[in-house]
Amino acid sequence: MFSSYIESILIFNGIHIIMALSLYLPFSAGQISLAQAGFMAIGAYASSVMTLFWGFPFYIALFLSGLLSAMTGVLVGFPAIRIKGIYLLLLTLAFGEMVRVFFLNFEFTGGASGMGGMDLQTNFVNVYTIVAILIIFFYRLSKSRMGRAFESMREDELAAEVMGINIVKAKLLAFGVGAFIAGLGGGLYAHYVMYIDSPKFGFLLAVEFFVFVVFGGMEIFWGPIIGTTLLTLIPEVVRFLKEWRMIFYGLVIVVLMIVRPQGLIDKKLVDDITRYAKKLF
Amino acid sequence: MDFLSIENLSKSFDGVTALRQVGLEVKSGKIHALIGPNGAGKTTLFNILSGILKPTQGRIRFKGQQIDALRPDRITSLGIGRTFQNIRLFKSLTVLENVMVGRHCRTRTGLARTFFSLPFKKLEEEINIRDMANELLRFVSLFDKKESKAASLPYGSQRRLEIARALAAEPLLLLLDEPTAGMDTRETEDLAALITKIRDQGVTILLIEHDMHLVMGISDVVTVLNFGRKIAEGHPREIQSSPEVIEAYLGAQE
Repeated sequence: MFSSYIESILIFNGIHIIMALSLYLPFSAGQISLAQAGFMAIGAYASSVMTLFWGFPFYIALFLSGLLSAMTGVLVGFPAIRIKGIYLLLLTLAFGEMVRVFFLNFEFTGGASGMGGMDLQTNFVNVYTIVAILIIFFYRLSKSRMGRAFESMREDELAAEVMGINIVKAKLLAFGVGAFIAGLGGGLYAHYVMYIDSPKFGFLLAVEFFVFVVFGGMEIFWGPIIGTTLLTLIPEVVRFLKEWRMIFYGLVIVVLMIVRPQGLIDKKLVDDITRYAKKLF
Repeated sequence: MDFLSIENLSKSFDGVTALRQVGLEVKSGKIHALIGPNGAGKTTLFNILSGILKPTQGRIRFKGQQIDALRPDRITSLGIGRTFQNIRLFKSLTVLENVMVGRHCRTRTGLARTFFSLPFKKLEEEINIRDMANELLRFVSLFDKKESKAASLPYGSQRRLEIARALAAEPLLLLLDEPTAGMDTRETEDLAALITKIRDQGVTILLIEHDMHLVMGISDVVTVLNFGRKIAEGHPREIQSSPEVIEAYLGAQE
């Protein structure tokens, strides 16, 4: 369908979108997380163990590793019930690092030498099918009772609680489902690159996902999707800049944050586009 | 069975005592005003009633159930709603969405239901939430503003929106914390009419208010707090002529 170079960029882009959405979900409920790379690692290792060692079919392994990641997400969510803002950032960062160091030393999954030999299972079609399912999920969420509950918690957690929202349950749900999505991203990643080792899932990767979401905008789920796509494509498009490439990348982020601190896409923009599109048809 | 009874309630913050052994009975179907100078402990009492703060001592029963150790969302679902003195709306949500959030504890739809429902068919519950929110917005005369961001409303409208949001949970008891603060005379009169209307629909009201004209005009019972103690309680007329109250507000006469 595409040249293999373009296909690989698009597949990575799809995986990045999945990861950015996994971060966006707790974000939309006001919960900042730098743990997503950790959840991704859990998904990547767990799915690889299941397909490689236990002979599970890929999709079952993918789903189960998502569930395992979700359970870990709920565990991380517990301290998040009372911890807020910058302290939560630190807590989730520490969790991500714990996961990284765990897999670095866990001999069963190869320890420092990593884990390889998985089959190539991830392709353009299954990655973007999952992206499409997630778009439907987030679209429906944004117009639903739980979606509104998440947004109200982001706006004012205390008022949300006094208005009758069980914020304990809502936070665990946001962390759990977010981690599930990150687990899927990890499983897809592992079965595309076919070799994983723990340094890949360090805190820099978590920051990268964070940047995708902040760049694209946190108000609506289209933000992380568009933000990720642009930030994944920009370094590829400007390859002719050679060693100045990443400077350009940084510059784009700096300029955007000055011009549009709310991120590239906000609700107003989406509303305007929808209205314009309705007029056209 | 008493509607709301507060017994021997005390609250101190690091040695500062905000409430001292306050006892209070609120009767169903009344407008009960809570007045007193700044720092008398009125808002602290509201924060304890809505579960934001835990009392140092004492007991609160609402319709026979002890509520002083419950989480705020549990208290709301039992039927106590509130507004805030320093307006706490969900600013970037629309006016309509704010009220719809207020309906949360009376509805059920979870994530799975949201995701696995049929396409192109709105969930019945979602339609009901929207209908009720629209109706409440008409009730507080904000229907024509329903698509605006909550933050863009003028001050007085924001206070009415907070009331609509609280009513969406169908409270039996509504706590209003200085609902007329920052309003002009006309807005205050409209609000007085609105509060009476809410009471007439069967919602009991506990009201913190500094506008004495409003308090004396619509209240059935008035309780006066000063320095965390209850110093007087009774019919508005009795309160107006009580020497302790006059002293608390105007200072002792030489």
